[in-house]
Amino acid sequence: MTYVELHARSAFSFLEGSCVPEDLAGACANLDMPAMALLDRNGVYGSPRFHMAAKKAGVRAHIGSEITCTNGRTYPLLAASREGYRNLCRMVTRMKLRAAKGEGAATLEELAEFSRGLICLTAHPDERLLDIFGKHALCAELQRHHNREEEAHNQTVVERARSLGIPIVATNNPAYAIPAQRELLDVFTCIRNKVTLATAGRLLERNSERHVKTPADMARLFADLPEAIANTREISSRLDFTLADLGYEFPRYPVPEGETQMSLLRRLADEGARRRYRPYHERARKQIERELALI
Amino acid sequence: MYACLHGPGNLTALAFEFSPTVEATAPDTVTFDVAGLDRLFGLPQDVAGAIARRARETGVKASLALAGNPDAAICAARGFPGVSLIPHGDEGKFLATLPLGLLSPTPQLLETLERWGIRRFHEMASLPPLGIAERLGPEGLRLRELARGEGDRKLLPLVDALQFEDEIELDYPVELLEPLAFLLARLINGLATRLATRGLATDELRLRLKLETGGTHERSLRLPVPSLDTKAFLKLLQLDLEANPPAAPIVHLRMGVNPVKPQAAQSGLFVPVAPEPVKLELTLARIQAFVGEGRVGIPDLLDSHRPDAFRIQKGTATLVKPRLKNATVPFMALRIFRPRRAARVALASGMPSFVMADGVRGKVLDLAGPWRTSGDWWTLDPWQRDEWDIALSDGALYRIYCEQAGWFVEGSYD
Repeated sequence: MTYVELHARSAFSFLEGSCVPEDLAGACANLDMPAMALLDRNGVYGSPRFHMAAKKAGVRAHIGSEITCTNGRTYPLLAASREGYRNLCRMVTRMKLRAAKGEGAATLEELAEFSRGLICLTAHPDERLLDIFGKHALCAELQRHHNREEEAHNQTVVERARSLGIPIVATNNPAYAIPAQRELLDVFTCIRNKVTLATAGRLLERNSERHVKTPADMARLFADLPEAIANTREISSRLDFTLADLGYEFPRYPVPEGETQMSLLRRLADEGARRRYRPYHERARKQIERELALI
Repeated sequence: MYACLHGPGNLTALAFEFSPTVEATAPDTVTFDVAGLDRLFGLPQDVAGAIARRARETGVKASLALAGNPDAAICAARGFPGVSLIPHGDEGKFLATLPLGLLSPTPQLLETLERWGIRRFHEMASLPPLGIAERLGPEGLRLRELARGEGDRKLLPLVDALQFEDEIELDYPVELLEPLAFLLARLINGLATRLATRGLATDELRLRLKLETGGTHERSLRLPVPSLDTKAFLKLLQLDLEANPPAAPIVHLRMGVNPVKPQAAQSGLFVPVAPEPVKLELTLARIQAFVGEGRVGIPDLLDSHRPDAFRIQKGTATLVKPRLKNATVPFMALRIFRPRRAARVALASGMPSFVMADGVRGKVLDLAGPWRTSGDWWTLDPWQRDEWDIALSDGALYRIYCEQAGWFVEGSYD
């Protein structure tokens, strides 16, 4: 049975993940997982490295982010299309611009504004999210880390998903590629909370289960809910966007008639250099020429 | 009336025998207030005689002076050997011949006075105050006042550090705890009486026993609240010594208590009556004698993923309900078996299929798990545990777990 991990986290989720994107891509390839989605916290910082590593490993890299919301919850969002990626980036930019570094949260209204092209996985499905994303782009997320309380919550989520008519999807939310990296995550947790390992208590990980698991392991964990595994494959197939389809274009700068952008830059640089360097010596001339050639 | 002792020896202890107001003027000088001693000894010369006699008895070889003000007494004690008694009003005349160096002026001032030919107290005393103020300033005026024996200041009394300790040297070694209890009672009663006279109580008893073999045996008992209950103290010490007997017969006992203010608290009208703290401590000490040290106290839940992690906190002063932040409320009550029951578990496809333990035996009909926890990986004692909730063919629900030491039944669900 094929399983696609749709909710991985790397060290680009500052102090909340303990492996680099290359580790995740490597683990994915080793475990014969056809694709993986990297959803770092409030940003897509790790995506370029993940994309490159996944390309090298022959794995499809899905892009997304875990967005912190003002209601205290986080919503994992997957970019299904280029429009979804653009909306995700705009939402992150807006929430970061109005808050101090490391803070910032999106409102539910902003989620609604930028919801097009995004698929939301949530452990707290409700009517409001259903209104925002619709049945086609909202999934109830189930995770199983051998935790009694988590399983009690899962049962509630399954019931809620059935009443809302949305699909359930299994993820393992890996924060590290292999179990041994749990120790590093514990240390990161201590740094984040400014405590020591001895005093961190239940801030630390309960066990070492948040690593990248094989499709067979995941199928065994969700043996009673096979559709949760099957839906990962189905969602993955709907995620058309990768960073290869970025199609990024720099904005066009208006230039006078008869000039190109490069010729205008060259002229302005030359004028500025003559004002700056008196005399305009050879060393400065060479440096400017090198910079322009680089551009 | 003030007295001053100047010389070597333990002057402070001697001074405290005569007065509670003692100033340690210098390492070799103490000054103390002897006002009122006339009612005890009679005339000032009798007071001086009593002090001198006690000094001889205690081996203190110091000069003694009595005067109407502390500074005159200090100058006389430093300037004249033996006993000096300065009549009231004659201080200036009495001190007249003493060298000015006794007043410890600054070197510059002393040099100036030397150049002027002023070397003795009476020469300084006869100088006009206005002229001195103009030429030598306030320091000169102070010197003149002292030289005339007119100093008038208050003493800076030492605060006597109260030490409550007592000891008994034994003629022959004591082996049994019963005769030792009589000696302990003597020490406790004496110390308690001393504490009571000062309106104090104690929250700590320290016992140091010297053994015949040359070693020592030390015990310390902390009480939850300050008390003066000598019977309870004795019983606590007896219980403690029964649990931790000395290794050899005892030849010397020394007991110290920590003096503290007694605790006075009015209990609330609607607060249920709690047992008296010292009596509760005594009861706990008796229980501890049965169950062993470190096994009586208040269980304190630890902030850890480790199931059932707690430590025993000593003390009974604050019996509060332990609370943990974010503690989960279980849906079902679990009766935990203490001690845990070792189990033999048969597995089928990695899952428990048959369980056998003391009072528990059956085929596993249904199960949930494993619920996995691990931690303390940075210590020498890392742990890992897999729990299962199982329904057995005996009709009961159990929690079993597997860790490094094997399989165990932790408890049964109600």
